[in-house]
Amino acid sequence: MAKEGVKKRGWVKNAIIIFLIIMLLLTFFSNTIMNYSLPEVAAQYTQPGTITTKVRSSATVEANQRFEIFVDETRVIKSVNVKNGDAIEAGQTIFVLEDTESNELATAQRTLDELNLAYEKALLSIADPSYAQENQTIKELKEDLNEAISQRDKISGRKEALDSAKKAVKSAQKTVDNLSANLETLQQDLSDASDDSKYINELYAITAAESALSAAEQRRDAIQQEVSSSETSDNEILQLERNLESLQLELQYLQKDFQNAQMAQNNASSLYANYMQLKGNADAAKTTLDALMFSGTASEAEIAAATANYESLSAAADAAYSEYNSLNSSAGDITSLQHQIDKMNIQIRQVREDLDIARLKTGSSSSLKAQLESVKYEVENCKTQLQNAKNNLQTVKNQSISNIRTQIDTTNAQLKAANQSLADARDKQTEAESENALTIEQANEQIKTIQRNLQDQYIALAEKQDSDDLKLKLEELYLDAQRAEIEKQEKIIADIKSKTSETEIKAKYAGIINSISTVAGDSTTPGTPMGTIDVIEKGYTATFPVTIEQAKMIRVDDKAEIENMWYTNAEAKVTAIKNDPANPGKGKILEITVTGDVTVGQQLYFSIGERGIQYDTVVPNSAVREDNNGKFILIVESRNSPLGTRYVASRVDVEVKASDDNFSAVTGNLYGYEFVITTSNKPVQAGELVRLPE
Amino acid sequence: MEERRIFRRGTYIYLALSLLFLIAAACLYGVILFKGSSLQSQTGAERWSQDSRFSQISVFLSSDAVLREDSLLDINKGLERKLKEASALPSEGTGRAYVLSYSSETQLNISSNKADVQTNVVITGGDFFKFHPMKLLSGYYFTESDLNYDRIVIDDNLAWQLYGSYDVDGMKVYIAEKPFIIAAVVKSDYNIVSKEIYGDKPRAYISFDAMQIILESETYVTCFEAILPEPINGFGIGAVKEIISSDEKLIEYVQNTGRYSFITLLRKLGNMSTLSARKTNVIPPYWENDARILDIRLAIILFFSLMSTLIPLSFIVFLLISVFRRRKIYFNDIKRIASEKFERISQNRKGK
Repeated sequence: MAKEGVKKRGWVKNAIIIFLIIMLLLTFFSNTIMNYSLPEVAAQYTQPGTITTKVRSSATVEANQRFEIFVDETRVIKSVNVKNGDAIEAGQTIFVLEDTESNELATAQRTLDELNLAYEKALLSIADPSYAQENQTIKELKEDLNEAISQRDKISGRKEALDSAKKAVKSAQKTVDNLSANLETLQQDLSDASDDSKYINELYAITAAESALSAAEQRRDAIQQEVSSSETSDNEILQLERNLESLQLELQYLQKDFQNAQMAQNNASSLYANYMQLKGNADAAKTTLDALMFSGTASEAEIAAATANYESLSAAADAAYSEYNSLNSSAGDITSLQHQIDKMNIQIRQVREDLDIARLKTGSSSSLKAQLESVKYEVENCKTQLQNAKNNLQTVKNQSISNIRTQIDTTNAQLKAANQSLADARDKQTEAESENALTIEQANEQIKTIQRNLQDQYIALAEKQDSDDLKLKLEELYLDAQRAEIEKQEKIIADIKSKTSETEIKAKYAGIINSISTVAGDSTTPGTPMGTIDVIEKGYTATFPVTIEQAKMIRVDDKAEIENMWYTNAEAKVTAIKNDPANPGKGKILEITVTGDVTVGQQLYFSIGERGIQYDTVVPNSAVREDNNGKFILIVESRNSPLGTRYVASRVDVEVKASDDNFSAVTGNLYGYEFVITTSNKPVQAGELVRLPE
Repeated sequence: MEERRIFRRGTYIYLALSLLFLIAAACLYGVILFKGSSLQSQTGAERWSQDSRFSQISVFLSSDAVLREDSLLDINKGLERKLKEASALPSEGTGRAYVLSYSSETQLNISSNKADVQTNVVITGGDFFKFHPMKLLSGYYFTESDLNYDRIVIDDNLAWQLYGSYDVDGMKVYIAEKPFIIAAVVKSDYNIVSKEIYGDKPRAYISFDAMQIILESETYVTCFEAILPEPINGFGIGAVKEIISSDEKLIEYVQNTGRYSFITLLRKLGNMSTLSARKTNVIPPYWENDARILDIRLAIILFFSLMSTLIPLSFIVFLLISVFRRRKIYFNDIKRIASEKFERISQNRKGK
């Protein structure tokens, strides 16, 4: 156990010894170790100096004046007599052209032909303007205006026209009502006409015929009874036979008269129908005449025509009526004729009876038989008469119905006409009412509107005429311009033709050929240079762009050093400071005139500006640092310490007044002998220890 | 006397392993912190200000987005307006509130009297070199405020090929027969993650003015960078997204500040499978590709760092369980002691 304690103490002792040795070594070499951990800095003292601002740039030498060789037409090059870099004299031939017509001449000729064609076309297209449509419109508007004015003037008569139209409507309505009433009456008559009981005369004739038939039948029967016996005298028989013959003759006359009377009656009916129609037409004409007279708008000619129409129709109706009347009176005899015929028949019958009796009296049974036969014949006659009477009844009835129907048709036609007249009168009334609706104010308004339209038309016509005049003038101007164009083109052609004779292109000035851009066989292009000549007698120029800040450092007439030429007589001088069109507001173009032994195209390196400004404190650019607190420099300050001299980097805020490529002039809290840190092998912060190179 | 051990031997080994893994995790995390803060193209905001909050934002565009140098004036105005609205503009007399830079890439033939070299050329504008400080072997950068814009910064590879030396600032080179003055020579593979990304070809830097005025060639901006005040989280990138916009396939936005923070790397670890997928038509410049490679590397390191903390964490849990199991005081004892104390106190009060 004691051995173990010694072992432990021994271990601790060894550890302490090693620790102390290490500490000693570290202390011994502490300075060195610390030095190596510090950043190494290079420094120099601030000093007064000059800040020189020189502007440098390179530029290519160009001739002051360059002449370009042009041809104004397209020609073929025959030969080129020079090459790049050749020196030429004024008047020396450079190009020889082929002796042919140029493309420009052909083109110019074509252009001239086109211009002439256009001019001719323009001449033909000028036409005189026409205003027929406008005039027609104005004429119509004038007519409308007159119409409107006459309408306005008629307004006062319209009220009367309305009243007369109303009266005409009333009168037409009355006519219609009357005709309707007549129609009803005729309808009633028609139904009455169908009733047999109305035909008294005919019925009487039928009754008479029937009684005669009955009597004849009775006699026949009596005779038949007396067939067996009877006696008649010859004289009586002869007398009776004569009576009978005369009666039969008289009967024949009566029957003939009766037939005539029947025919007359038939004619009378048709005349009556004609009369009724004529009467209806006359009534309608009267109504029309009344309406015209009451309307107040009808002309006198119309009224006269209507009056004449009415009078003629009225006269015709009267004539028809008188004719009818005369025929009708003869028809009235029919009844008495019928009575006479009946009476005659009765008489004949009586005579016959007497004759028969007489014959019977004188005769034998054969005469009685003859009587009987004649009575039988009489019976047949009576039957025939009865039949005739019945037929007559039917005929009269039919005729009466036919008459009434005719009257009904006529009345219907009249009613239709009257209705038409009523409708016309109503239309006229409506028209009169609508016309009456137009007041004086409205009529005046209409007139104003038409007048305005007319005025607008006049104005439009005037404007159109003005515009057409202007067009014509413009067309004339255009034609004048075209004529001028044609003349110009003719001059151009003359010009070109005059130049065609030139086949050699000569140099205008002496100089050096800068470039030839065409070869033999090429066609020239008008406006495109075929070559350029540097006119050396005008001198050389070099231009290069500079910034605004650089331009501020330079003045005109400043000497420019040519840095890439030695042992030369070349000299350069600033002759102009111009605005840079490629960089407006941000740059300038410096123009330098170069004289001496230089060539066009030579690259020269210029340095301009010799002015230097003296400053009290100038430091290298690498000494100037910057952070968010501004620009500063780090200076080396020495401090004594127990371990020796220590160097500390201290910050001094400065302001840079001017600088060039290598140095900057600074101002700040500086005394003029500060040791400024320019570079270091590690980043250095203010307040850090640094070491200087050994 | 027997030795008294608090824990078994295995526990001590477990403890030692946990300490080891904890140290490893801390070292790995330290590597993340160190690497993340050492890539200078991502730490512009930290360099610009140590006492105020700033953030560095990058916008990468496809050339199809057609962002011309002329448009940058409008972008500048837009940013000023945004900062003014947020009251983030500084008072007069102090420094600038924000810094801008824009660039593009192309290939040009750069020649001297001795050689003619095909070169990757970065066309720069604004304060490009503040965002991408390089190790200067000679000379100094050109700036936008220089009077002449015929200055060029070349890397050591190109300087060697053209002149056979690094001390060539002030000498001439030619691009399309136009002379340019060498302003500085910089180290080629300085502060880069992957030399393959930088490439074997030499690299040079010229200004947009030189490209447009001297070489008379229009170039579109493909990279826009800004250091903006960050009064609240996400202000800077939000403002930039609003002012510079294009089709989503033609533009990418990156917040450089805090790119390698714990949370950001953890998110990237979660999206590891899609990190390398190309979702747009943008071809980022070499420094952004460099930063993306570092994204992946640091995410992997974070993964191992987190894995390394598992064992120490499990040991702590185990320790707590053991201590709890071996406790001598139980809950009833605590209750009893507490109630005795309470009785004593109440008796004392009654006595008073």
